[in-house]
Amino acid sequence: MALDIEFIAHILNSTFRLMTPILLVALGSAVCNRVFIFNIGLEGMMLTGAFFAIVANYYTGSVLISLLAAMGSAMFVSWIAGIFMVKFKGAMLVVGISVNVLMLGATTFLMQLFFGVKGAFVHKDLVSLPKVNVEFLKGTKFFYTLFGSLTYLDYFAVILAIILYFYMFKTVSGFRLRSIGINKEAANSIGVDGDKIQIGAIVFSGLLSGLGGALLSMGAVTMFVQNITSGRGFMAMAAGSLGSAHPIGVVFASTFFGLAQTLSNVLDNQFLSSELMIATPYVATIVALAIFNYSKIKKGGKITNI
Amino acid sequence: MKFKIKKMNYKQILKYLKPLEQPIVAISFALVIGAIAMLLAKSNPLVVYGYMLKGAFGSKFYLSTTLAKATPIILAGLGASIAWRSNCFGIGGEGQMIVGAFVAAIIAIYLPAPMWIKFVSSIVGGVVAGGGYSLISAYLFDKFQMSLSISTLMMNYAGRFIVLYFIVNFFLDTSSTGGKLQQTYKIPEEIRFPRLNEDYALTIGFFIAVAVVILVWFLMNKTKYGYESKMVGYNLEFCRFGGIKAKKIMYLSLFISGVLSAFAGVSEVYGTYFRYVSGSLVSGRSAWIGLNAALISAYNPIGVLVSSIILAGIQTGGSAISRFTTVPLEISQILQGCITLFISAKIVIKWRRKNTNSKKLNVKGGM
Repeated sequence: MALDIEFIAHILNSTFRLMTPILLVALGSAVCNRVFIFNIGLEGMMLTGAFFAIVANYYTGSVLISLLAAMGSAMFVSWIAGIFMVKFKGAMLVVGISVNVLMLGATTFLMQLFFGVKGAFVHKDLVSLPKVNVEFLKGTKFFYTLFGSLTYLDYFAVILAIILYFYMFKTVSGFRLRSIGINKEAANSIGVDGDKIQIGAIVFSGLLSGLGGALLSMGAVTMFVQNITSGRGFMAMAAGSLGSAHPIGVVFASTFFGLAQTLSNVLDNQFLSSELMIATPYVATIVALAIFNYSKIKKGGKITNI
Repeated sequence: MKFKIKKMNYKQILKYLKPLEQPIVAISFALVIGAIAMLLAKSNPLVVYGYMLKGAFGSKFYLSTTLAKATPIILAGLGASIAWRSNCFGIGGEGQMIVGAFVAAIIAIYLPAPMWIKFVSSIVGGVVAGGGYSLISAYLFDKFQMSLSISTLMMNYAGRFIVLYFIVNFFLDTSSTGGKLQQTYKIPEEIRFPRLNEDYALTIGFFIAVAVVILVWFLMNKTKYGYESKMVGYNLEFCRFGGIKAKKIMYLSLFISGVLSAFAGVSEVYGTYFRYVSGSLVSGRSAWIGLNAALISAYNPIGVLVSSIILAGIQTGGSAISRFTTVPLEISQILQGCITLFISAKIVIKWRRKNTNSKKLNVKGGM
């Protein structure tokens, strides 16, 4: 019995660790959705953050500078994407897809330039994100496993979701932000600068993607692997939609993705197919959106999710 | 008088060349950025581009490799063009390729029938499955107003893992590698696409793709569907007054788009792998490169053919330069990404030139 409880703690812990990188990026995606931006470039921005975190890490050995580099680089890429999407009126899908291809190529290209390796880069001098010390919980096995090997950034992700909830729904500035998504022309007419807010939202999503990327390359492992994100940016978009772009909803949606990944790792075909387990959140996103939209259509409302 | 006619001809030629203006500008920008990347890698860009050109089209072997690589890109590109030109901005090419390739492979391996029945039903089954898969997203859009980009993106992943489930549990090739690789058995040798020459990768698949290009051109420009779908792409409101059933057009466009993308997957099974290999279609990225080809050519089938060959050339050329120079082969992804990024800004140039109609153009590809 004791073993079972520890197993559950292990699953919850793993779910949490797999959930947070998705959550950070999904919050970015949610903010973008709220201002009517379909930011499919999050995958590329996340990859950028993951890579430059390791670059700064290698040259400075400082966690803080690594995080700043991750955020800064991803913000730069997202700013360019924002300019193309909003100012140049480039099609959002096209810009996003281009960013993904470009950054997948550029990070691998630069990895060979900076480190002279292909595929993966590991080095003994790389520092990882500091873990929260849980020595005081050593007495109770359950809590020790549950809260073990988590970084400060993991906790920050959840706190950020709560802050974003208050910002979006309880402040004037948050209301302005949401007004762009509801009707940009109307918002412009009352003096809200739609373009500026849209680009701001994209850059903000870049910042969060950078953090999410850093969490991937400096969290559980400290290394950069070619295409280390492997679709987590897209997963985050799905979580953003599944949580209907509401920060608290996004937390639950990301947890669902994290749980599905954990179960597919842990159970490994014992009584549940791991392939179907991974497919479940994507199907669930479609079903959830269908139900959400259907109830809205029935009430005669306008569909605002994109 | 004569002068006047000449001038008109000159203008007409310009008019015909106009669609080329934007791709050429975008490609030039991309080449400049590529050159900067090459300088960073301490290589002379001119030399590297020379190697790239040679590695893509320089010999019979390289040319045939490029054309073989272009085959699925052309088909996926046509699929994307059909959907996008009628305002259906789906990105489900990858999922449709996977479903089509899987169904075609399974029928070709397991259907107990004479070879030609096997061949026909496998290909028809594959493409119809892909088309049907695409229809799901059409239904979701129709009934639940779910944006195509979201539903197709989800269905890419759902399709990939559900197909993987079937392969691992029911159709795994356990003989050759002990089931370590997630792949099916090979399809019978008699029905594979024959190669033109044993030493080269080029199969008749490429020529089938060219035939499909002509077919799609005909469909787009000479049929009622082609006209109506173009109108839907231009202006939805107008169509409602003009009696064009936009909904029907959407279903049809997405079905044809799915069929073509699925055929891209089928061509990979029949011409390259001879089986369904899990992950091969994802890592090959043909669906995405095909979408890029469609964007570069502004959904013109002949343009898709040309730009697919160019994009495939960038890929094969990229792997050639990584053998001969210090430049990593990822330069090809950098070039591809830059080309489509600059292509996306096309709308701005048009918008600056004629301020009227700007609203309509902004909507294109936006959402």
